[in-house]
Formats: sequence, C-alpha cells, structure tokens
Amino acid sequence: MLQVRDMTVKLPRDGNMAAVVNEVSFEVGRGEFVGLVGESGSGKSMTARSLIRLLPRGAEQRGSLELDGTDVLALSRTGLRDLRATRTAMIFQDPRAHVDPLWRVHDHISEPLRQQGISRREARQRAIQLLTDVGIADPERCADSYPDQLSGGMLQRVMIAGALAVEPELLIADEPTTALDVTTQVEIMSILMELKRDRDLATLFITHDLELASVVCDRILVMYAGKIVESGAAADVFARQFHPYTHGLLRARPPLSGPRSKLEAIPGTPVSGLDAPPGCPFAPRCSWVKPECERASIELRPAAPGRESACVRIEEIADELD
Amino acid sequence: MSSIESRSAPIVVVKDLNKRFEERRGMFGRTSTVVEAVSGLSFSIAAGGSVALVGESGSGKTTTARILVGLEPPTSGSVSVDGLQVTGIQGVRMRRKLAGRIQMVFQDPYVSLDPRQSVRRMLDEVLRVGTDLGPEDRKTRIGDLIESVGLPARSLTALPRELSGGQRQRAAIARALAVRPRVLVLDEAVSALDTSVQAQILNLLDELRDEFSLAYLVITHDLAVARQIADEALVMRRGEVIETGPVDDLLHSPKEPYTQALIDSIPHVGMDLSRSDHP
Amino acid sequence: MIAWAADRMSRTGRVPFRVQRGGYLTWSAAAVLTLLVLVAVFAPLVAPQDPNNGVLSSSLAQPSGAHLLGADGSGRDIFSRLVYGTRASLGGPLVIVLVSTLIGGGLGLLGGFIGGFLDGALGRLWDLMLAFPSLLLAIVIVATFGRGLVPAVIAISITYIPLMARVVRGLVVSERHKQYLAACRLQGFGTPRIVFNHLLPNISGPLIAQLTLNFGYALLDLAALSFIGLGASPPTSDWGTMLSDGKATILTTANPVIWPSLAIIVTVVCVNLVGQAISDRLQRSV
Repeated sequence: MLQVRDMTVKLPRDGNMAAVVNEVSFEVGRGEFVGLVGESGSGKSMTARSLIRLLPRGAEQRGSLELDGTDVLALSRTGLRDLRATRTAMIFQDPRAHVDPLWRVHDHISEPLRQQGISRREARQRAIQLLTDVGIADPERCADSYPDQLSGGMLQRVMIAGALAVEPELLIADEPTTALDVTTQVEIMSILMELKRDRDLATLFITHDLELASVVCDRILVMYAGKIVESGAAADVFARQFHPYTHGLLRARPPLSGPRSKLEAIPGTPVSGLDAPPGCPFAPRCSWVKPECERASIELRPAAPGRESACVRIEEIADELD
Repeated sequence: MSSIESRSAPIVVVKDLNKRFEERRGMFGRTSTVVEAVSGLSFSIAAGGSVALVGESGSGKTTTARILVGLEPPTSGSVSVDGLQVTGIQGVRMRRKLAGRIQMVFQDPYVSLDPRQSVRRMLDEVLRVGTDLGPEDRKTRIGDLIESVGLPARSLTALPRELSGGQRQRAAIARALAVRPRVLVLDEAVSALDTSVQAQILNLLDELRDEFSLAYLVITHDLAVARQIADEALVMRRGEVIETGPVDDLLHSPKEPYTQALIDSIPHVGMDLSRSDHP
Repeated sequence: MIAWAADRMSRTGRVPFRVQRGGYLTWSAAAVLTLLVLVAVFAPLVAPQDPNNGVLSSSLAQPSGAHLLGADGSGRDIFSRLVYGTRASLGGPLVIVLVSTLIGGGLGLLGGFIGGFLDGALGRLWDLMLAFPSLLLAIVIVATFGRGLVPAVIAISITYIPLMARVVRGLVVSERHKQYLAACRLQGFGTPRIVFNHLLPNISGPLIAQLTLNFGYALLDLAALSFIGLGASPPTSDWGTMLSDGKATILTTANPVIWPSLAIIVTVVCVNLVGQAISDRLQRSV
C-alpha cells in the first residue's frame, strides 16, 4: 500500500541543508498497523508529515514515495490536494490545535464530503454514523457541539471520525494519545484497532512509547536521529532487541514489578538528524561503541529472520542484548 | 532507596483539605459553575519519605501540589510543612520562611525557567534573596549545586534555550534545592522528558533524596514513575482519594475498581483492547 | 503617494516593501537618527541663518548658495527652519512616548498584574477615552487650554495613554501565569523584584516595537496639529507648521512643502527600522 524508499528530508541549518530524515525506507501494507517509535529529534513526526508532503517552508524532500502505485512526489498541487482529501488522513497529538473553534463538529466531519458534492443532509447522516462508529454516546448532540464543549478524548474521537469520512487508504496517526489520560488512551487505541480490522485500514502510528507500540502495532520501526535503526514484528522487538538503542529505551522505563533499583539510563541526550555525527548517530551514547562505529555506514541489514538492524556490531553483540 | 521503616515524625501534614473553584460566566458574572477540585484530603509525609499522588487530569493532584507550596489558598483545611502553617500565608517574610522548607519542580522545563537568565544568574539571585550568604559562599554553593544535579560547569553561563530538556530540568532541580528545603514537590517533573532522559532524572532524584535527606511529594499520572521514586501512593479521582497504600500493594492487589482500571490501562502484553463503548 | 507610504507604515509598523532586517539598512537608519539628534542639539551651530527672520525680498527663492533648500513665503531659510525644527519634531514625540508609556504603561501593568476591580475599572476608562478619535480629543484639549507646542504635546500624550495601557496590560496578562514567575514567588521574591527583574524584561520585545510605532504616530499627530494651527505657533518652526505655511503657495513652488515632508518621512521610517531591529533582537534571545 505505502512504499517509502530512501526518503530524505532536509532542512536549512546554518546556511546548509541538513537531513532531519535520512534515507528512510519502509512499507505499510493494507490492514497493517505499523509503529514508528522514537524520542525527540528522531525524525518520526517529520517522516509522517513527509508522506503527504506537509513540510515546512524551505524543506527539501527526496527519494521514492508511493501510495498504491501513485508516485506522491510527482503529484501536482491539485493531485496532492486530492490525495490528502480522499486517500490519506492524518490525526494529530493535540486535536484542539487542529480544529476551528468556530465550526461545529458536524461541519468538521462533513466538510470533505460536501466538497465531493454530497448533499448536506446525506453528509450529516454520515457524520452521525461516523460519530457512532467511534463510540460517542450521543452523536446527535455531539454533532451540534463546538470543540470547546468537548473533552480531549471526545475531540480525538471526533478527529478520527473526520479522518474516516473520506474512507482513506492510509491513516497517519501522530502521537494521537500522548496528550490524553491513560484510560482514554485505551479507548482511543481500541477504536484504532477496530478500524484496522473492519476497514482494512493501513495505519502508520507515531509514538514515543515503545511499550504502547509493542502492544498495539503489528510491526515496529525504531528511529534515532533521522534513521531507522531497527525493525521487526512488534512482539518480537519487545521480547528481544537488535539494537543498543532499542535495548536501552526499553530498559529506561521504570519496571512495575521486581526489585526496585537504579534505572539503566542511556547517558547523554537524544540527538536530531541535524546534529548527528558522522557514522552511527547513536555512537556517542552507546555502551558497545567501537572506533569502527564512527566510520560505519548506517543501513538496515537483516539481523535475524524478520528482523533488521542498523547496528554494525550486531552480530557480535546480539547475545549481550538479551 | 530510602525506606520508610523508621517512621520519623511527619514533615508534611495535610488535614481535611478542600478547594473549590468558582467560575463566573455570563455578561455580568451572574452565573457560576462550581468545581470541587479537592475534597477532604488528608495525608502526611514522613521526613525523608516519599508519597505519590496518582491520578488523571481533573483528579486534583496538581491543585493539591499548588496549595502545599502556597501558590493557591485552600478553601478549607490545613497544611503544615516542617511546623509552619502554609494555609493563610501572607507577606513576603512568611513566604521566605516557606521557601526554605518546601520547593517545587514544575512539569515543563521550557516554561519554568526565566528565558532571559543564565543558570548562574538564576541561582545567584535565588541565593541572594533566600540566604545570607556572601558572594564567595554563594559561588561555592552554586558550584556544589551544579555538581549535585549533574550539570557541567559550562552550563552556568547558558541560557535556558541553549540547554536540552533534561538539562533544563536539572537546572530547575538545582534552583529548587538552592535554599536547602526539606520537602520537594515534583509536579509531573519527568512527564515532559524523553524516556531515556526521564530515567536519568529519576535516578538523579533518588540520589538527591539521600544526599539532601529530602521528603518528596510526587505528582504523577504514571504508576511506574510513582513506583520508582515513591514509597506510598494516594490514588485520586475528581478531588477524592480512592485508595492509598504502599505502591507495590496498590499495583499488585488493588482494592478499588478505579485503581484496577488505571493499572489495566498501562500498555502491557495481552491487554484487552476490545471496545467497551461500542453498541 | 507619500501619504500612502506613511499611512501604511504607521498602520502595519512595516515599510511597504521587503526590507532586510538588521544589516546595513538598520545601521544606516540608526546613523540617520543619531545625526538628527545631533542636529537638534547643535542647531544653532548647524543652521546657517536665523530661522525666524525672513527677508521678504527672497520670498520663495529657489535653492542657491544663500538658501540651500530655498526660502519659504516669508523669506525664511528653509534649511535653517528644518534644522531648528528637529527640536520640536523630535523632542515632541519623544516626550509624548515617554509620558504615555510611563503613565499608561504603568497603569496597564497595575491593572494586568492585580486584576480584579481595578483592572475592570481602568478598562472602562480606556474604553471611554478610546471612543473618541484621538486627534479630535487632542483638538478639544488644545482648543480648551490654548494652542502651542506644550499643550499639543500634553494633549497627544493623554490620548496615547489608553493605547499603551492596553498594550502593556495584554502583555502582562499573557505572561503573568507563566511558571517561571510562579517559581520566583516560591523562592520568596518580592513583587517588585518579580515585576522589574523578570516580568518586564520578558515583555520588552513587543513593548519596544509598540513604542517605536507610537513615535511615528506621535510625530504625525503633532505635525497634524501644527498643520491646522493648534500646535506650535509661529515663529516656532516645527515641520508641521512648515507644511502649513507652505501649503498656500504650493502652486508657485513646492519647496517649502517637500523638505519638511521628506524630513517627517525619513524620521518615521528610521525610527521604525531601528525599533523593529531592537524588538527583534530582544525577542530572538528567547
């Protein structure tokens, strides 16, 4: 469904262009829920936005990007607009920042439908149906409400309903639950899971929460400093990691059981692609670093069946990462 | 890890705390909505102990934190910190007394530091106002503080925007510790940080608790964080305490359904993601 | 067209074509302003002739050795009048901005910081004052208290007070709840320290921008008052009066009108450029 090959996004930095997303390749199949996991500066949000070319001014995008055969990078303004309006949908972390406070809920959802020529009455019917699909108890009342009358969780459901209105092929979810309470998070994730099953929706799920991704996603891609450093089936990545960074990330979370002790913290600060040193960007913080890491080329290589890793030393250290 | 086996005298005592917010609406402020942010809250923290207030948004945990440090007056009830009554705090002199006893580390390190002050100037100002130390002594203490929080010496001349999130939070912790309080309120102090940095700061907070014999009030929505740096927890919901106890007890044998729901919401392998709301 | 440019500028605070911030343009503007200030201070040394005594026989003379920029209808040297005019035309707006900022800004700070009834009452006062077109209000004040440069300056200052009060109040209200200020309170800082060491510096960027905009407005308003005869009265020369004097004979020669107009434009543009640069510099450091 979605095929990304060697995609690079560069931003101006001190007079030059520096890569914030660096030759990233991955695929999302129909009905697949793929997680893109990373901390600040990893480039995950920029990657998500680049899929629909929603980049800041001055950014350069290169590589190959195909949605069900369509070359997205070659699309004209109109073509891109149509793609964004009918074939892809995106939901964001803070729904309140992405709604017009002067529009009622049903306007938000039915606007794309009206643009396709659907009648006002029919559009409203569909909006009510969608609101029911996302689990809103009183869809009629919700449809007539303004955004500021709804809680964060409800607003995010409304956003999802709006995203579904166009029956997209690809859903891009950029940290949709980060700003919500944990109990609300579960509800929103349940909705996304059901959509995946019932509508065969291809979803790219951006998050910083590796544990969340391992539970809800089919596959996980771990990003660091603009590069994908590890990939594999979600449960596999959680059970055993094939990159020192993923390994460290998992162990950085305080455990819920077992003896309480000092956390294994990765020293240093996450770095963005703009500031990454040559060679492996994680080298300065890695416990397994060797001089060759600073000169290595960072490509995803198969490390085990169904698993890929960008660590040049993975064969040597794989056993230690357990 | 500090333990609470030796139950020293409580350093923070909260009794029947209530906070009501009234919001005026309408043209002339005639209609108002009342929110009971905190209802009948009572708890205490032992000297050197660590208590967590765990809850989601609207639980009243942040309001409680603000009342404890004197940023917000309660509607009723009493709070005392190291013998000093916080409620009814008036005037700068009383506030300084309180400042020397309890301090707060805020959630967002990007807004909790004055953007125009370098780390050194910020710490120096805090010391000048809050202590009688002379310039040489202040310099020494600033150096010690920086070292304790794990900041390199060159960060002294840095402005907040030149520091990373983790470094800013370390600076904020240094500021909180400058006047040697005995109690630190951590208001979601690690929530805005990257996971890898969060771990560093949690470790730091643990070390500091031993080094400075601090008592902690940890405000958090994250049960795992509560377990890591607190000994006991109070689960709060809509201003009321649902359940209390040692964190491990709450996690492994919760008595209340809400507590169980919170635990179930933590992403874990095999969690139930079926829809409970779908008709 | 000049009027259009000046009007666009004072409304948007920006020159109506793309300008590179900082760099040579800002420094040139700063240099020009410094020059003008020096001219104002050393006017007697710079002006070749007495600005107030005219030789009628050289009325409306064209630029020449004797009269660098020509002479006005009364035979007075335009260049000298321009030079002496810097005093009123720079000094006047300066006083207006200072007075309105101190009083208006001070009240705005008070209202914004304390809130409650005081803030509400002040707000209504500003609403009342702003209900009148500012120039009209100034005219009323001057007409009541007599004409002249000083009453004009006072009148305009009064009309600018609500403007500054509103701006400062808005900035204070949006900054007041930021956590670094709460942290200061927690550390036992007194209110004066919090306000002057922390709050005000952090709103200085937008404040300076507004100040420089006001200078331009004030200059134009003062010139307007003088133009209709309610400001500086002859023989005092300020650029506005010069415009007024020159308009009667504009068909004969535009000289007496062009030079003061240019002086006004150049000053307003330079002040805005420099002010914008200062404001940018202050805000960029955050």
